[in-house]
Amino acid sequence: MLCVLCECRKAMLKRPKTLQPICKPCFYNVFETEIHNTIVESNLFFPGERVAIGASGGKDSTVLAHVMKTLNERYNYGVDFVLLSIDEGIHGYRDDSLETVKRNKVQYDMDLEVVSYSELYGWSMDQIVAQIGNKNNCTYCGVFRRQALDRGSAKLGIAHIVTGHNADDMAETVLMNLLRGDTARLDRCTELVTGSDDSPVKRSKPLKYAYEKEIVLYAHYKKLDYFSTECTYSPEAFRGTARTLIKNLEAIRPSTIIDIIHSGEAFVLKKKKEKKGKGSVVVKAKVEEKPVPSGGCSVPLAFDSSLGLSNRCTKCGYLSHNAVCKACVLLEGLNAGRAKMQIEGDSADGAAKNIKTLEKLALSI
Amino acid sequence: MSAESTCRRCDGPTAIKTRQANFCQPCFITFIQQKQRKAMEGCKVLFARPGCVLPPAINILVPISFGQSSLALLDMAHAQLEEQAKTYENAAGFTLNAVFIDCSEADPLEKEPNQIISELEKRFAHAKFTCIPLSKAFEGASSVTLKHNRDYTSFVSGISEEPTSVQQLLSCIGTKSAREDIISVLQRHLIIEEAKKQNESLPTTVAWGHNATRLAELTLSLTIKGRGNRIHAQVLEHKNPKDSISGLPEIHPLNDVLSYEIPFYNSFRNVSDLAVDTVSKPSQVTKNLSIDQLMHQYFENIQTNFPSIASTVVRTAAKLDDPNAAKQGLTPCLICASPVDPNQSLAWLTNITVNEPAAPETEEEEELSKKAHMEKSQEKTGDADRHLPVPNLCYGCIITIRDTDSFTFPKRASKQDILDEFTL
Ligand SMILES: [Zn+2]
Ligand SMILES: [Zn+2]
Ligand SMILES: [Zn+2]
Ligand SMILES: [Zn+2]
Ligand SMILES: [Zn+2]
Repeated sequence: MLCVLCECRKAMLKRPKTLQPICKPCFYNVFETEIHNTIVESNLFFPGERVAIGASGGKDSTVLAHVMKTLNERYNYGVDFVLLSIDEGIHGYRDDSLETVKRNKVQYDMDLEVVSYSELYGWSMDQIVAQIGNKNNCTYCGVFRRQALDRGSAKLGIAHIVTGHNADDMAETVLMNLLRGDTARLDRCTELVTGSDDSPVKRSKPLKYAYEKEIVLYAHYKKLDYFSTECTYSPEAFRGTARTLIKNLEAIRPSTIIDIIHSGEAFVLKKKKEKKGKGSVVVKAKVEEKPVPSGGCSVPLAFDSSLGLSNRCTKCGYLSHNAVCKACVLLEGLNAGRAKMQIEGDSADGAAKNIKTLEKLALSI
Repeated sequence: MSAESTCRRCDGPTAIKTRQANFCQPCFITFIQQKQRKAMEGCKVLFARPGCVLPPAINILVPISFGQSSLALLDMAHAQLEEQAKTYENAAGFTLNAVFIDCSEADPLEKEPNQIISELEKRFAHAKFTCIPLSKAFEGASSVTLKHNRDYTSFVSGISEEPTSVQQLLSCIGTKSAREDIISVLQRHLIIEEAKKQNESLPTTVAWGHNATRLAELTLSLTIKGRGNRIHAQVLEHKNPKDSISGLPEIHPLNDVLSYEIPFYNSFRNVSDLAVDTVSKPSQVTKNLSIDQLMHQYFENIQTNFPSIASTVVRTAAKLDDPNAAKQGLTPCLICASPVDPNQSLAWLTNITVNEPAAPETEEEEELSKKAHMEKSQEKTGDADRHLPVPNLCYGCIITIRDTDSFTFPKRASKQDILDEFTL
């Protein structure tokens, strides 16, 4: 059977997004061009910009790094890409995946920066799980990883991180927000670029329209070097049902994943009625809707003391709505537990020490 | 009897456990009916002066499917009328019109619609029943045939003064999901048309029988079908006709009742037997389900572990606004009539679903590619329809007709209207 696109080569695969039988060169072409279109459509990069690629060693971020390098060369974006990796300290999982990222550094000829939880927080994920058990550990994962990426980019003087979130992740998030009633993020969760007043760094998802299955095929045919084990700490059970639902829907109608994203992009929240006495709520909502600065500034303002202290964590200086940022709240809980367990031991200074470490990091930037 | 097994309101025997409480039959009926009464609080008997009753000032149109949920709503509204008649000597606060869109030609029921309606008429004497065949959507309408290209662009390939038929329409739709999508578009259209007609003689409110679980399913289904922009119109209540796309008030009196509570209500009221199912049952194989059927299954399953999930989804959907409210220059979709920004959907789709081939690499590939090009350009010159422009379609409808090769749909407008609209 001939490829339906070029009609001159043998069809080698059925494209998951459309079920079209196509050849490998055409597959690479459509896959890469769609990502390029996503980038161009929103002026994602500017020439001379330094951009960090959030690299986990997994398939998504490996394909992201490969495609960014390819497109950067093909279309002369003029972007300087750097690999940024987080070492959560998950034995067996992260050890191996970090090795992959180190090989990627050589393969793609990019700089690599590794930031570790132990160094940042005084806790590795393994230690956290040992302390709190297997429940809720993705809450820690999420909060810590987010800050860690910010701190990593701040260290590199970078204001823009691209992550490997794919179309399946986006569709799942849209459904999850509806099912959990997460209205705060309902209308923004499909945005290509996100930034908020509690993160100094602009984040974007160039693979937001790329199907997970196509990412797997691309990595496979291109023989990319990636690490294929999932995070060993499993996500919330509820997310599992949304994931299964999407897989079932995809079997019924292959376009479902982008159809859901299309719907998500059409979500508009009703304006909050301005009530007297609830002024603070309205103000907060306005701050969150602040547009992301598109390029231009290149030094993150995260830990710039000239900003004043109103919007910062009093413990670590990180941007935060509350007096103490989420990571520090979680850390306090963890450290309290550790202090209790080692009550007769020598490290009653655990909590203080961790905060010291954070302060030092903040100052050294 | 222990306190745990008696009704929390009257200590009578428990008939249903729900919302972490026990209810006896009468208390449960009251509990559910109160929700409906509140939604229809404008339906009270009006007096010119004490003792002098005015005629009803409002018409309630209840779309019925013969399913459990719309049957329950019909019973509640009817019970309200019975009570008003008893309290105020045959006075009524509203007129009650039940409208059934007969889709049995597409999806046969276990009983003949006429037979079901005559049974309903006996049980609900204060209500009027109207049965509208699905084919009414095709009456007096010319038809328009759409084809789609590989790159998802559709084009009008033919316009005919001859109406198309239900069978003809359905025969060109390849998948269950597309079929169910098109039928529900037509159903809704006919219900709103009927409501507008009734509205000419008495202000009419459409009271949909969707329960909370069904509304949650609808929210997810619309999202999944790329029709997220329709949630505001179809899932939310619009008590004020000004913010309703149909121009009529639309309410959901059962939006706080869960799907598993409905059969209890119906059985306590002795109306369960009046519900009728369709002949065809959902497939056992997930892959062979339609999107709506899959969503139904999903909520029925997840509801047992997360009982509040449906209300969460409905509450979340209620926070969504009409995404087109502030937009200008929108024109109605050729199929579902929802307002669309011309070309926006298509541009979005083609940007992220590229159909450009990679260039030929070898001489042999070059040859083959040239040959294919030649054949294609010959085809094109022989095809006069190619010159007809692209119709105005919303994203959801583009996705639906992509499941077909060619699609013939009733077009309300005349051939001349279509030519005027599409000729450049
Ligand atoms: Zn090809
Ligand atoms: Zn995790
Ligand atoms: Zn902090
Ligand atoms: Zn009772
Ligand atoms: Zn439409």
